[in-house]
Amino acid sequence: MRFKEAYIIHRIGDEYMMLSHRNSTIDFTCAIALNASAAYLIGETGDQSFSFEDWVSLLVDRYGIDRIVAETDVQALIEKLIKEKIIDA
Amino acid sequence: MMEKVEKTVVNDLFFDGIELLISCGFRLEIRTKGKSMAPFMFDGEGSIMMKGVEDDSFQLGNLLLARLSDGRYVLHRLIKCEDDQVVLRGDNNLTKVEICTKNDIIAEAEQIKRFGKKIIKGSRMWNMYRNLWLGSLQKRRVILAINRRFPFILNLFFLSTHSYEI
Repeated sequence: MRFKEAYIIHRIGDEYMMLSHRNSTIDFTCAIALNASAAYLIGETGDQSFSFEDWVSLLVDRYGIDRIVAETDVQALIEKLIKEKIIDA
Repeated sequence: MMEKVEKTVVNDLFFDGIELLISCGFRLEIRTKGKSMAPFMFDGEGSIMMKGVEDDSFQLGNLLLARLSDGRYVLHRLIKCEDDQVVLRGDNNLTKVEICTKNDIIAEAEQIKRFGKKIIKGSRMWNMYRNLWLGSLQKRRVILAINRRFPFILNLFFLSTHSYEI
């Protein structure tokens, strides 16, 4: 899987925003709000391809959570991103 | 689908981030907010593309984003620049101005989008508004009076007589 466009993660206060980034232009008009763990995963991935397992491992390593919990969270996030056409499956 | 929600962020937090990104060389597109730049821009309609400050940013009529001494941020038109002093005024303000220094200027607008069309700095439409708003107080008073009574009518006039730059 990979992101269809370049995005940057921008933090405003306690909130993380995913912003489209094209030709040195960052688009604040259509931001996607993320929680901290989603922001971490997307930030770590950048424009690289990734797999479901990659993200699960990242969450487990970073937060020390149970693998099953991580898998549930990653699955939910990936489904949302696919529905919003942000990533290619 | 993800729920689309409109969120308003506190200015300080928002513009601190803007300032940082601009200083890193990025161009930013943000939503139009506020009424002080009507009829050139309308609250909630369209967006503004901004870039970092350059030598020619301090030409009269340019739209500049400033961090004022009272903590407010404004994107207003440059009406006077002498040495280090910068005087800004919103198009919808007859006489009220903001005074700051060149160091307080964070970014410059190079394009706006409204009603689905782009108006790019240097285009005929952009220059028309610039010239109108650098004009006399009387002229601006008449234009603003028309705009307040009949919002958007000026833009209909401009739409019918001139084409936008795309």
